[in-house]
Amino acid sequence: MNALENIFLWLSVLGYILTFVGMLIGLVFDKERFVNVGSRLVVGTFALHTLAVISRWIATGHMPVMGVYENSLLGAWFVVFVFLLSGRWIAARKSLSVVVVPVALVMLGNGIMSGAELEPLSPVFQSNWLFVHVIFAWLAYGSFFIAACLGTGFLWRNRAEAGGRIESSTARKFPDLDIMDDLIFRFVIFGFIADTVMIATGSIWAHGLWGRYWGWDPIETWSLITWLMYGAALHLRITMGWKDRKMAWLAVGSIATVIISFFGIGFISGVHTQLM
Amino acid sequence: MAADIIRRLNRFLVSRRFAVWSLVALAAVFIVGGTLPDLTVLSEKELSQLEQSRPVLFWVSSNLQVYQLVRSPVFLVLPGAIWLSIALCMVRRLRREIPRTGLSGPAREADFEGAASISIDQPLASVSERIRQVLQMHRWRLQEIGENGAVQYYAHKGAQGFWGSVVFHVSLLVFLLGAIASILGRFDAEMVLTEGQTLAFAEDQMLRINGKGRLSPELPGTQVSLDRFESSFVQGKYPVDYAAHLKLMDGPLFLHEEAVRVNQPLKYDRWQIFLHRYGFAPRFEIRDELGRLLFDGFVNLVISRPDQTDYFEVPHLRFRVETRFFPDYEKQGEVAGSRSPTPENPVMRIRALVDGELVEEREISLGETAQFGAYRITFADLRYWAWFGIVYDPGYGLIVIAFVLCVAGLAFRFAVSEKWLHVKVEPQETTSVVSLSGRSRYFPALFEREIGDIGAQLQFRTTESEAKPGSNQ
Repeated sequence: MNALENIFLWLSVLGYILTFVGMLIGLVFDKERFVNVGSRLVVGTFALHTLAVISRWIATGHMPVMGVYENSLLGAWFVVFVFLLSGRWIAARKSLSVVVVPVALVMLGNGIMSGAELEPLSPVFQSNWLFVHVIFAWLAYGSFFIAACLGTGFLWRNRAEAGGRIESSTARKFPDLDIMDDLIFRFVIFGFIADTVMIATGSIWAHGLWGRYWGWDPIETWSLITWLMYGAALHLRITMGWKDRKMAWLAVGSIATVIISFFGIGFISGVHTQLM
Repeated sequence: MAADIIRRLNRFLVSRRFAVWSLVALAAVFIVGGTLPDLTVLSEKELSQLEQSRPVLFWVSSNLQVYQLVRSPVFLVLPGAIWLSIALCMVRRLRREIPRTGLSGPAREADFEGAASISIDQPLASVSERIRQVLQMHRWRLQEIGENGAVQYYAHKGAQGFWGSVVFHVSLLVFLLGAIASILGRFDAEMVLTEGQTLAFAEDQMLRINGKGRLSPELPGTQVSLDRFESSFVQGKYPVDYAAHLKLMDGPLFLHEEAVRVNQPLKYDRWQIFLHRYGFAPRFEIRDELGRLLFDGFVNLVISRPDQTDYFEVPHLRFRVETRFFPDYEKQGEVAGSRSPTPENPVMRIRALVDGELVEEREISLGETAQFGAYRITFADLRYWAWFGIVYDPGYGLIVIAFVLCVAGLAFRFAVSEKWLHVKVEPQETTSVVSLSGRSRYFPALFEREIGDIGAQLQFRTTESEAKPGSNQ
């Protein structure tokens, strides 16, 4: 890691921590000022995070896609990016940062713990399909994370409303339940399409690299499992009318397959671990 | 009886429950197999360690890997049933959809949700005309129903999204066809070439044949030779390029020449040649005490990195040579190492064993000779070897087509969201009351906002027409 990247990265980590603490205080103790400051802070921190990504890109000469650290750096960026983009549809999005920002922090922490040695792109990664594959992977995983966060928010608010405690609950600042339900569905759809492109480009890249488009490597298998689980979730919504709490639980539960696909790379042996 | 069974099976296969549960069952099978470590990428030593330390995991991983499960006839019933289910559902939906004319959807007012009501200070005819303009501008298909002095519009859009679903499900059928084509026609083999070596491009010259489908073609039998292998490193340790320069000949006739790189396979006829691995191939000369040459040849050793060791045996001499290679030898005190992976100063550390007993261990540079017990070993030459994959896969093209259809179908399906709108205009003295309600197939909550926006546009349009000169004297 070079000095500039180091500065931007640690400022980003600090920014996300302050955002989370501020939002939490604002929501729990009903301090609107903390929520507003936290909301602006997440945008500012995202800018610092972007600078960290750019610094890394310039230092290595390639998009940061190699190794656990670069994947975590870029992955966390995409999660926050999708979240900020969602503000177009969710007016009350800022309160959900109390769920999204910790996810980004955990991802960054995982990456920092793995070491950040600067390396040029090895021959295995010298393929344009890699970049498309990684971008769509993060768009997919980012969307699924946001859907899971919305699902968590839905269940929280739903529980408060059912218990007649909504006026005194932090969850009253979350969007309306029917809006969150629609948005969960939208983010699952977007993530599913991006996931399909990720698998497609990964297969095409694999064929050019190894001569086979599918080899049942554990990570390939888990990406297919993720696709099947979210496909089943879409089927349950569209054909069997699963909505509201059922859909929220589906969004929250299905994220486990994404977590295993992302974090499991380091623990399950296969060609992907050899690459990493 | 048979007809009844077929009818029941058909009902079961086109049911929504089967669609969902079959996906979940497929995922469950893959979860079992996908959680196990992939034994094919472990070395012999690692496999042995796993077998000794965790025998149950070793047995399960050896027998229940996904690539083994998917070849099992029992498992194949599930994707077969899914394929049949998709095909039957497609036929059913197409038979229902294609003859349809006119608008369709929720028939009763009660099926619509999200209402808005506005009062416009204009006569019925003007308001009705403006509603038509606004809705047609937003590409709604309209059907007008006039009754009891009021005007009602039933509007529909997004019906084309159905075809996105059709294309997506057709892609799943194409995936399966692609997989079948691969199973029947794929050829997958591996060969190793040393620099300067020529081999026939034929099955008996392959190091290993990993798979040969029933309908896969024969190799052409031409000759393939490795002219040279090149590797490039940055900062003395990070690889940035590997290139194997191959030449294809048919006797004296030159056919093709190309550098095979990682991610850039050689394509010749229907075949593809991939670069998988490389290593060093030292040439050793072994002589006895009388100087008679007992062994002379290149040995392909798996020693591309300084920390790797490998060995070769000369059986008729009961002689085993264990090697550790330093491509760019450097010694710091008593510790030997390599400055870089490129053979700038190649030195071989040799342990010579006869009948399992160590005779001598020493280091020799390229071109040097040293005594190892009763034998003299010369490190005579050094070349590279490269390991190639030879592949032919007729299913790959179908898989790519399937992926394109899959993404296009999904994107179209959900970009074109099906919606219905019910608009009722009732005259009341000098005003007209417009009631709007709607239904969105997928996004009812967000559609409520859209209904509000349409209502606001009607108001806006009415205000605009009032502002025109002479329109409201």
